[in-house]
Amino acid sequence: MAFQEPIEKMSGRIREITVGGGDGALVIGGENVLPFYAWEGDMPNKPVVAMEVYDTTPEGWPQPLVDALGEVFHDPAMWARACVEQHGADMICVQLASTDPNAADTSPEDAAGTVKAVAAAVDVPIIVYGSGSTDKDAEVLKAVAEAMVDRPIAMGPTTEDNFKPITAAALAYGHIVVAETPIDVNMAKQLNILISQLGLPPERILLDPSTGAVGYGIEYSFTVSERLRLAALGQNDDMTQMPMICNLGKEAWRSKEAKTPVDEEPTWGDAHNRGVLWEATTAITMAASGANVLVMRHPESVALIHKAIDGLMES
Amino acid sequence: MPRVTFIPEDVFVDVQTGENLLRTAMMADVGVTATCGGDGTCGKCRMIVEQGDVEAIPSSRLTDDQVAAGYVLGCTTQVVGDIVVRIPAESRPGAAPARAHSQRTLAPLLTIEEQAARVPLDKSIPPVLRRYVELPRPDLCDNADSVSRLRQALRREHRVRDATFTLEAMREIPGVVAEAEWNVTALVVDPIGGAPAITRVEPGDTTDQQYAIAVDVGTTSVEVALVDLNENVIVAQCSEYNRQVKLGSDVITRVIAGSTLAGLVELQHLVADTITDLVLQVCAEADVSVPDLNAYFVAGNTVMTHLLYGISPASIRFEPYVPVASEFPLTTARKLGLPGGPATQVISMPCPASWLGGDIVAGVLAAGIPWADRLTLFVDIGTNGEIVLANTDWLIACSCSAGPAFEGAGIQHGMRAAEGAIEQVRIESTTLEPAILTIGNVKPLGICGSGLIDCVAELFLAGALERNGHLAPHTASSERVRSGERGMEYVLVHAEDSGTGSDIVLTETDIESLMRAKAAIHAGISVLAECVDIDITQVEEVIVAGGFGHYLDLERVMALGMLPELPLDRFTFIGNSSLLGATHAAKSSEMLKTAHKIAEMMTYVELSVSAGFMDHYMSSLFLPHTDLARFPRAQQLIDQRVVIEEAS
Ligand code: FES
Repeated sequence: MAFQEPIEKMSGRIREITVGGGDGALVIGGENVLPFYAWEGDMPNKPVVAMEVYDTTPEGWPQPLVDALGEVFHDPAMWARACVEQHGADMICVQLASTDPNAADTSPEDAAGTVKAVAAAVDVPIIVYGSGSTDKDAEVLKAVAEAMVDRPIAMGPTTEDNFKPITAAALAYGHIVVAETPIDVNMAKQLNILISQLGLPPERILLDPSTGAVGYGIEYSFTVSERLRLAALGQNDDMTQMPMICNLGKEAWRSKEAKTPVDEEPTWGDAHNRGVLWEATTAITMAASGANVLVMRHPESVALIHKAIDGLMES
Repeated sequence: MPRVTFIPEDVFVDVQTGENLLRTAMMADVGVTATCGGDGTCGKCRMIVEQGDVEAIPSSRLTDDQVAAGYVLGCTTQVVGDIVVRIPAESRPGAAPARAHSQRTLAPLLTIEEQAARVPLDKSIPPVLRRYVELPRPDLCDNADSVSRLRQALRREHRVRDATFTLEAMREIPGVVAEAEWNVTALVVDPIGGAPAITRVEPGDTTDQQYAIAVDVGTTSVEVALVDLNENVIVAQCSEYNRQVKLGSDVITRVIAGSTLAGLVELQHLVADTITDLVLQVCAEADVSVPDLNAYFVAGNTVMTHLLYGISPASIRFEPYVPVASEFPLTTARKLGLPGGPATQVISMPCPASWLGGDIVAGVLAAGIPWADRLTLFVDIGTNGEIVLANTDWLIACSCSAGPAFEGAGIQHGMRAAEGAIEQVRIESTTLEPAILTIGNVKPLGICGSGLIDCVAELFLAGALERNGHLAPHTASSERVRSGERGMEYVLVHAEDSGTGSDIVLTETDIESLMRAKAAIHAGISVLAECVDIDITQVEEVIVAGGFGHYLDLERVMALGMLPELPLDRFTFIGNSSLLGATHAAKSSEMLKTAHKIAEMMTYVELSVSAGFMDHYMSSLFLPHTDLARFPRAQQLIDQRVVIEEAS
């Protein structure tokens, strides 16, 4: 008898959800296997890249990023268009950093205006992240949700401390929430349950389990994400079956290995390649842990990741 | 047992004769209003006895017409036989739920007989006992020395072999024999291993006075029982907060405080003073002479035991985390600053590990685990939650820090399980109106552990809590929910009904403390089950211990996710098992020996190095648990209420 490769059958499936609206809508998730385990089941939608666009000119970013994107920093809509048209972004992730009360503290209305402008410039799905300030995010995302009533977006981060107002806004205006928890399987699941209990269907929740960059706890993030996938697939655990999003660009470019110029650390080698590879390695690791959306910064790392994912999907 | 049926619900419960009718209604889960804690003053808990007889105290709250119509106040009425009781609409916080004919079964605190039945009755004598002997006078033909003659007589008459005499006892002999003409009583101390010792000689027959003190030295509370060794019964019992609390509420801060000589001395004095007051109180109550006490039998966790003996516990804090001793020498009460005569002995339960003390050994003993031929889960709920999974062949145990919430400490309006403590709570789903009952049926002064469990579980089942323990947004419209100094709070008792003159509230912070405590305990149970690769549903009996009052609603405990969901008939609530075990040891040297065997057999699992503990803890930090599928009954209880709400 011919050798039969043993197949591990999973009992669960990641929810297939649609992000964005109109012609640009994109379907993610839907796999009933661990990432790229094509021989054991199917993975109908490949992981996608959402490129970051900031609502204000970023300060102090490392040179490789400035070289690649500096021309569009001043205008989020232009930035977004460049990402989609020139760099192949599957989605745009608008980071509303300037709304932070400890930064420029821009108003919710301004933030809504920025998001609207970006949306007008591109038709790919839009993900909106607030600054991470619990109370301000609730106000800002409410305004954004209202402004974007005609074009569904995904918005976050929604945490245990502000899920109520943000979920309410998502419910009222038809959006998806991004539920963010601090690298913990149980907390991730708990937040999903809490959000669902407010009446938001699980198809409108994206799971952000938080990420560390290579060298900054990525093995821990990887394990937590993988465990979430194992619970979703292996135990058919309904409240972990949301597609996952990894907000990793920020983390990778914050690491000193990615941002230190070569004249400061001559032995570390070329800063450009170093930064790009740091981000790409972080991204591919998280894709392998089960991320469905990778939030990234540099066009070259995005290109690398697209290539890697295509390769993995073919094999 | 009398059967009490409540209509219109048509729910019945079987209760002990003499049970309070309001409590019975609460146990049956029928909705009633009761705001004064059972004091008989609010007049809200009116019920109509439609069939059968009760013993009711007349109340000015009821008119003659009402009394003629069968009205009683539930809280001042005792059940004496089968009855049918109607809860009138005015006594209901919400609409009467539609329920089918059903019985609610309970697992109340074991009776004294049931407690005794868990351990084998044996004929062995107390380890410290007065023995009376009558000796012939010595003469020139029988000229053995006094000690030898006494020793011989003890062997002949009481089978006390090879007794040794302490110097103090020897010094007493001449005076005693002169006074009592060779009719004397010797205090015989028979420790584990080694020869019995005679520590005191008294003139005449003093064996009619044989009392021992059993002490449970808890981190938060200390409880003592006065045991009559002739009658084998507890004659008085009382408890108090451990005065060491002022130097820190948890064990670790005590260890730190006890690491200096001055701190150690202070802690030793504080606990000795706490015990002293309690002992004087029980002895006064039972009219027992303190200097005549035979002995103390102490059960405490390892740190508490070290502190009582004045031994530094400092080494417990540092790798490899070992204590100074696991067994403690025989000593006298006076040496430890405890009241008693010069020969009153102190015997302690062995403490097998740093975080596994004599309290848990005593608990396992009291639970009868060494003789029960079944897989048993024993959970002692206190400042430290101790968990033992065992059968007759093996015992595996762990200890987790639950905080003092269960003992009413660290809770805004918490108190010990003493008179005036709210120990039972029911909350109606639509109005959030509570029914409360206090220990001693008096106006409420605060909330004790069982009341806290009941209250949080009821809020959760009533849909007022989100699964993370926060008050749900819709509760903001209830007049019982308001924002206080420490966030949102639920008003359990309004000032006019309380014995303190101010509101008694439950804050979100209190709920959080309880959540953490219950999560630690559930996580500990999960880790132990994993260690021995046992599916928790295989557990045949769950014994719950803790210094709660008389009532701990185990269904509520389960609904909170503190204990695994198992059929209710597998649960037993044994009460303060540490004290009970110490009492058993006081009564029987066989029991004391078994305690030492238990300590030797116990395998200890250190949770702080367990990889799975934190994970289990996080998943338990949710109501009832992140894995909802493991708690189907909690969900059913919630659904039931929802149905009731919709029906009403
Ligand atoms: S009169 Fe019975 S509870 Fe108040």
